[in-house]
Amino acid sequence: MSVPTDPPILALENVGKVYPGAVPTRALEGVTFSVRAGEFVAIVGASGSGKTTLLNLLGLLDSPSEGRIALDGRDVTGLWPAEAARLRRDRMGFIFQFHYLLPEFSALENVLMPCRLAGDGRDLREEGRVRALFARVGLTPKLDRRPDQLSGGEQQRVAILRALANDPRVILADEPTGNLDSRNAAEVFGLLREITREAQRTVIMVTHDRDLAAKTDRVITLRDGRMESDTAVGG
Amino acid sequence: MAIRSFALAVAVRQLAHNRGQTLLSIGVVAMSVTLIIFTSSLIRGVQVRLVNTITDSIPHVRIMPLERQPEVLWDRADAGDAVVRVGTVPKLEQRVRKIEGWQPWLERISALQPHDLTALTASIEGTVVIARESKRLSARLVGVVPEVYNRIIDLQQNLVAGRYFGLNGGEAVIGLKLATDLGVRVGNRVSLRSEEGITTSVTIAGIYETGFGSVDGGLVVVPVRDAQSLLGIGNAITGFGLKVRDVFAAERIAGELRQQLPFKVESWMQDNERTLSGLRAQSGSSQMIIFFTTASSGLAIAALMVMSVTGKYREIGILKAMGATAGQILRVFTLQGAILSLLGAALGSGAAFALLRWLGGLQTISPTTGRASELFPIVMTFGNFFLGNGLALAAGLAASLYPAWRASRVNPIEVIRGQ
Ligand SMILES: Nc1ncnc2c1ncn2[C@@H]1O[C@H](COP(=O)(O)OP(=O)(O)O)[C@@H](O)[C@H]1O
Ligand SMILES: [Mg+2]
Repeated sequence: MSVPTDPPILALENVGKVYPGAVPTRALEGVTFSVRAGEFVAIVGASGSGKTTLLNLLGLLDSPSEGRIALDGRDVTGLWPAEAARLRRDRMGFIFQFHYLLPEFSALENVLMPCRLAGDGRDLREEGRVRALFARVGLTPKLDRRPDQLSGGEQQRVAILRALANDPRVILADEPTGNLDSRNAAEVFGLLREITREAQRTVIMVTHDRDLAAKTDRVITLRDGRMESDTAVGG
Repeated sequence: MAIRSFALAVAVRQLAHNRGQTLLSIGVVAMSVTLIIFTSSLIRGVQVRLVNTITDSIPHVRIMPLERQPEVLWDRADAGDAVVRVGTVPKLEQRVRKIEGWQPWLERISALQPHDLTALTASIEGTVVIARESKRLSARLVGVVPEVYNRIIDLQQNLVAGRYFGLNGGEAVIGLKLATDLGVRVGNRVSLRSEEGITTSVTIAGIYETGFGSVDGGLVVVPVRDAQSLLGIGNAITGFGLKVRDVFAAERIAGELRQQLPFKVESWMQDNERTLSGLRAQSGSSQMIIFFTTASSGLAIAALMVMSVTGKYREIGILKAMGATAGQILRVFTLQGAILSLLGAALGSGAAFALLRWLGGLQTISPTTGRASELFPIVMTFGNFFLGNGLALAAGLAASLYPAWRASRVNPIEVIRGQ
């Protein structure tokens, strides 16, 4: 593992998470690592090992019970909800196991939705770039289709474009290929890998798929909420 | 894309997408708006019709000389010397109360109420006995200038025989019932005898039928001069009669005049307090109907929107994960409430307008008089439409607040974990 020279885009220091309840559940403990801009990181581990919890903390959807998280050198632990929402909108892209496209909007409109959320005319400015992304993934003929008129693989590719629409610094993906057959999974992963490499974007991807994990830059393995290993891969 | 705002775009798109639910909501609002406008227009119409049957045949406000108050003996300056005989009752002179030199008062009154006044006449009224051969009946005598008095009560339109406008001295006009009771026709002569003991003979020039019992059966209309001589009041009059635009304002106007004039001022409302309290109860029940209609349409919208929010739980969670704020989500659903109520209100207003126009045109023929009149007394006012639309919009917005609040509180983590 190389020592980063630039300030890391993401840095976690001793992060822990306990879900409160009648019987409080510890989901994460003492997680410390940092990610350089442009790195493609896979997070692997058994079911219930804390992968989704970690991704939610990185995505500012939840706040840690202990430790600190810094985004681009700025401490983002315990932000106000509206401020966290703004950072998610402007700095992050999310990809989930299911596409969760809005059924009422066309593929292009869905991809532009994060831009439109900004309400500053960004969706107009970015439309050209977004159309180029559609061309890049071969979906130009499907621009105006509704999600239910697309195949599973196409839906997930549109969801990836949506995560890229705001040109975010960090892309967080929770098992983005978990719902696809292996051929589509390989294709969608390849796409994500290529586009983010070209644009020097940071990706943190939770996956069950050891083969896909082996094609990333770095694999972090969780076990019972702790980091078991953190290994660089050939890529 | 035409719509720029995130909240508006999502709101409109979802409504267009869930067409069935949208149409259902609009239908509910439209129905309640129609019902509110219809109820208030009909109740208003019924009330106006009822009040008209009372007020069409009488002045809305009457102005008369003050009653002479019996004086108390010891208040008099000369009471010290007065000899009071036990058993005697001081008596007031019996004479017609009259207003002398009344023209300046007429001008003063018309100057006081230029806005609400629709008619103002001097009136000369008294009691007479009308006789034809052996038949004698008691009646109310009015001395009029027909063309002016017709604005207080329309006899010209209701003539069934003879003439009214251009009534000459020595002529009288009476109602059909009185004419029948006396057995007279146009051209017959009758004699009139006042309480003052003055007698004269007049020719029946016209006979009318208004449908108001007291007018048709107990009124003798003669020219001003003839009435003045019968009552023995010279050039004086016995009072003034006023018609005002808003009959319900009559008491307020009477009160204002009372402050300004040295006369007794009465409105029709004082004499009809029972009818008015009945009308107030009716207004109260129509307000209840309107309230429950508004409330149920609001609840229906709330229920439909809660359903739609529940169905959108995942999309809302993903939008929030992508950076939509709680405020933006709140706006999506309150906008939906506003759009549904606006469309519903527009549709409901149109339906109400069409319905009221149609019902207002229906006619019924009276079995006794054979005259056609409106079956439904409908009064369409801008106010009724304003009320219906205003209530629907308020209810729709209020109803959307709870579902919108629930939507804004969706936690994206739960949605993500839900997979
Ligand atoms: N909202 C929650 N409340 C209580 N316990 C939770 C909650 N979310 C996750 N957990 C628990 O935290 C642990 C880690 O879960 P998760 O992060 O979803 O793991 P993974 O994504 O690796 O399967 C599990 O034991 C899970 O049951
Ligand atoms: Mg998980």
